[in-house]
Amino acid sequence: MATAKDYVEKGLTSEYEAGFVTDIESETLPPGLSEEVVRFISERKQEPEWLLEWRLAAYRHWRTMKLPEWAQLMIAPIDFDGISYFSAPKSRADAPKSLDEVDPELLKTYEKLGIPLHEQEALAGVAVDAVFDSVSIATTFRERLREAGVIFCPISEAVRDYPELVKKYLGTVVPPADNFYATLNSAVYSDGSFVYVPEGVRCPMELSTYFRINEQNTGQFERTLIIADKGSYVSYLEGCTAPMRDDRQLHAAVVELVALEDAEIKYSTVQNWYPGDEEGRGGILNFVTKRGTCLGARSRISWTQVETGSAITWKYPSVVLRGEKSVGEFYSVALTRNFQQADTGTKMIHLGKDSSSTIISKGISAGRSQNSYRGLVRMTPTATNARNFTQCDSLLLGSTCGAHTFPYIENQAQGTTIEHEATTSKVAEDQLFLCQQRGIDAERAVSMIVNGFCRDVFRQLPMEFAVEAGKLLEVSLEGAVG
Amino acid sequence: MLKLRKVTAEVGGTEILKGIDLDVCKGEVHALMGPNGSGKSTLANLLAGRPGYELTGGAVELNGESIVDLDAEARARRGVFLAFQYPIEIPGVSNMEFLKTAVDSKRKAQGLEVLSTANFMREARRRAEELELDAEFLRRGVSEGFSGGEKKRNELIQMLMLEPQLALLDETDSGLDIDALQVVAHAINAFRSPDRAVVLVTHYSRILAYVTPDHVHVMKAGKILRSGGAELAEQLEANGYGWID
Amino acid sequence: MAGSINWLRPQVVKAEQRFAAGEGAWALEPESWKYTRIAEFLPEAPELAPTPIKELNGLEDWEDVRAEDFRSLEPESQTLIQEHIAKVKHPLADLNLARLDHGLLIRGGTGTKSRTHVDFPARAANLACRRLVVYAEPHSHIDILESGNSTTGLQNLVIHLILGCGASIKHYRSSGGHGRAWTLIEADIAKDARYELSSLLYGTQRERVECRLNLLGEGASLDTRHLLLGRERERKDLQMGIRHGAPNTRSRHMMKTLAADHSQITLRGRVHIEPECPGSDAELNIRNLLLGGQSRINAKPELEIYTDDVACSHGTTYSEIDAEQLFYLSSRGIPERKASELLLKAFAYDCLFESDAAIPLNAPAIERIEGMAA
Repeated sequence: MATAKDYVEKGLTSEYEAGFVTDIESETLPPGLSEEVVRFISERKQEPEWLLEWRLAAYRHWRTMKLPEWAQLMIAPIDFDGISYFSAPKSRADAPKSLDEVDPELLKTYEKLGIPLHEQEALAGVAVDAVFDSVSIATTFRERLREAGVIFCPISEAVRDYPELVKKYLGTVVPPADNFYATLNSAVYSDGSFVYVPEGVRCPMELSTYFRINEQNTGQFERTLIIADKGSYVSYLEGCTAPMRDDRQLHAAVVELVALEDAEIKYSTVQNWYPGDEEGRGGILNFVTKRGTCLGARSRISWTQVETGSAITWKYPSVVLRGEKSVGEFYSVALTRNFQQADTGTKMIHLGKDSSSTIISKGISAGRSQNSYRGLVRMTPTATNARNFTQCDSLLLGSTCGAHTFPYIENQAQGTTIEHEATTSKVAEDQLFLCQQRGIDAERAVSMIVNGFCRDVFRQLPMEFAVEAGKLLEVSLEGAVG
Repeated sequence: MLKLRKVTAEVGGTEILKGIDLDVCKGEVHALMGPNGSGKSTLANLLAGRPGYELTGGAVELNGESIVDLDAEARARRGVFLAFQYPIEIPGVSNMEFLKTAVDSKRKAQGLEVLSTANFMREARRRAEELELDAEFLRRGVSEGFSGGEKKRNELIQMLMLEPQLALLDETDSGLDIDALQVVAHAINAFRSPDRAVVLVTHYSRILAYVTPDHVHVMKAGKILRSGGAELAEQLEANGYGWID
Repeated sequence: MAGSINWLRPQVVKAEQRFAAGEGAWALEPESWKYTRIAEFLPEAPELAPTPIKELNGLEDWEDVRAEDFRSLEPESQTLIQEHIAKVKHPLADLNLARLDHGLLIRGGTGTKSRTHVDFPARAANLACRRLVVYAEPHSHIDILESGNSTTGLQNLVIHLILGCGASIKHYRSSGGHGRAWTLIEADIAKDARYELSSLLYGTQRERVECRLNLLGEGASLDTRHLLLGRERERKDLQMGIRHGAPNTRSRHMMKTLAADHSQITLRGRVHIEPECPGSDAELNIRNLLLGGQSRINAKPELEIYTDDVACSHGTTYSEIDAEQLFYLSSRGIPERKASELLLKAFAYDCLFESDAAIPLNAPAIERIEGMAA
């Protein structure tokens, strides 16, 4: 009779559903990185002098930096001079004014991914800023947002149209010299999203961006900046998927969030980039720096992520809690299978009095994958009466994978309460037996049990994303059992 | 319907069942009694196909076909249901979701259309009411944080929803107060029908005051020592298990 | 006492060479030195000329235990030490061997029960290198009571415990003093053997204890309790590495801290479960009680797991004295200071020694706790 172990050890074999390459002519810079490349990018984007200098300073600093090696990851050497740092669809020169003008090939790509742009305008409450390779090509719902006073546009446009805002906040949360990948991003970032929600405004819809990596050997260096002014609220959704290819692809995005007094930002991600094949060939290298600052009193930043894709994930969405009574949250599900590696977690840096943070992390490892939680909770001396609660759970499917937990807890403040719990488990034989006794097949049972394990995180996602996330887990677990 | 011949079985290398013969026909309720360690729960788990319960000899037939090579899921599809002595928790999975998945799986296997969510919910709520459980109960995780009595009643909701042919109730009556016991007994009586059979595994004859069995079997040390009608339970009540030897 | 450790000369020379060459450099594990400067545990002038072996005192036999000075070992025991001494791999352990002052061997014969009191006396030397080797033969039982003050200078202590099948060791450590102390406790625990470590770290300006505890045989088990007290500008660093390297091994770990003034305490608990070790069961708990002041407590409880069928968890809390409990005691007429003293002792209670023979060793730690009550 098949046991739980037998089912899960058969390995995960479901084919990557979004694996195809769009045939579109791209204008791509030859591989390599130099000051000239940085200047070229800046010039193509018609950027002001200050931004060029900012990029150049980052580039010069990056040249002096070393690749970080502390993560629990096996990374093959990356040839940073073998990467092309700029690529744009050719038709960019005369950018489409409406969806009708969008390249039909591209629209087909999105349709395959289940993001039918034509229908998106009709989709209630969702505006999409679709990024194809490095340049934003279609933005919808801009009008309705403008009525509310919300700015949602490609960051390259924001540099042109709202230079004061960009200049004031760009690089304040993730400084250009922050870390190897963030510094690289600062030098060569192509495009990304910019959001500004004015004082007292509750953003009338969920803002959403779908990223897509297309050009072979093209690094993706998005830069996102979201500013929530006093008393405002915004929920931002990010979903990703990428076509199948053999060469490793580097992705080093930077996301900066700024929440002023009483403002709230919810940032949700479902990441399903190409994870590589069953032998561990190919797949996206996802080295992302995401950080938010709760600048004002009672401000709130919440990160929710569901990470099922990428060959390697190196990602620590963090919150710096400066404001009094500010709140930081991190909810994460990371599922790894085959040869995937994930080293993910968060940092909660408490500076404000009475600030509080919550961390819920669920790691699921299967196949020969390695899944690590790495987190930091730091209470600085000014963070009197700060609180943190952390729950880190790991679920192992099969005996060839690994699950790891590396939490750092540093306390220098008075009156703090910190609770950290971590557990490791597997799908219990008797849980599986109960399901089977009730006539539920093993694959469905494991998927249900894993979904239950992740419930506390899925609950944090906006409705449509929660459904998508549940489905994603199911697809990812296909073949894991039976 | 269920036919056991010279069934021997072991758990973790220890022989627990030492030759069991049993015939259960449609429409019947059998009470399987005996002191702790007599092997009655082992028998129930063995019939449901629980991993770790090894059949070492003999035959087990359901409706004339051997089920010994079937796994738990296949047995469930043929209408075998086990109410667990110690119900298992599945954190984060709601009762409703679990039940719907189970009922859907069964209907799909039978080539039937899946119940609409609305119909399903109506049905589930009705069953919950029968067992005097709050509708809120269905939203909670499977057996997560339930009291002992709630867990047992939850097992019976599953039984009523899945409508099995053969229900094996493993000490479903233990740990219940008198009110809960009556509710459970009522549910079992409602479940009785000419197409179904029930095997009631129990330590005490308490529940038999509310559910009248057609046959009573007394087990000890892995064997059925005595079989009889409802009156056997009464004798046991009066004299204890010692009297059997 | 006559005798020498010339028989250990080849190993000493090799250690000197390794240390001088910086082999197995500190950089190997920078993570473990995140909060503590290694320089604090290096002698000021690390010239490595061998120092003359000094007279050893302070060793007292309680029962029929064979606790022997390295200088007076039987050839058989010498061979034993030679075999095992190089197995402890750590740059500071090389320094220890290269400059060894005191070497002690405790042997528990098969099936015997014994108890030893090891008391390393205070010394005013710049560097005191001490090594304790405990060899528990199969099914032996050894109680070790270890007390002693570090020198006003730097103490470098290496304790290597080898537990044979079914052996058990109960190890009580009481560590105070004024100087700097670096201690490595390495234990290799064979099938069905059990190692219990209870440790009170209450004195010493700069103290770092590294534990490398290896469960190597099926059914091996491990139980550790540490109480760390920090005051003034003391800095304490406890590094626990626990390796489950065999099926059905079990370990329990409790670390408790009380930090006052400007003290800093760092705790790292690393549970590593190797592949194909089903049935491993590990639980690690860290409890920090904050006493006000400008203290700093860093904790890093880690799990590294490569087997699915395991039960593994850790929990860490930081909290203050419960105001309600304090109020309750006050309302019963207990002065606040006394009440807070009671609560602190209650917090520390399960880390204190329970064994009759070891109870006297609690005294300095309890005294220190009382002094911390506000």
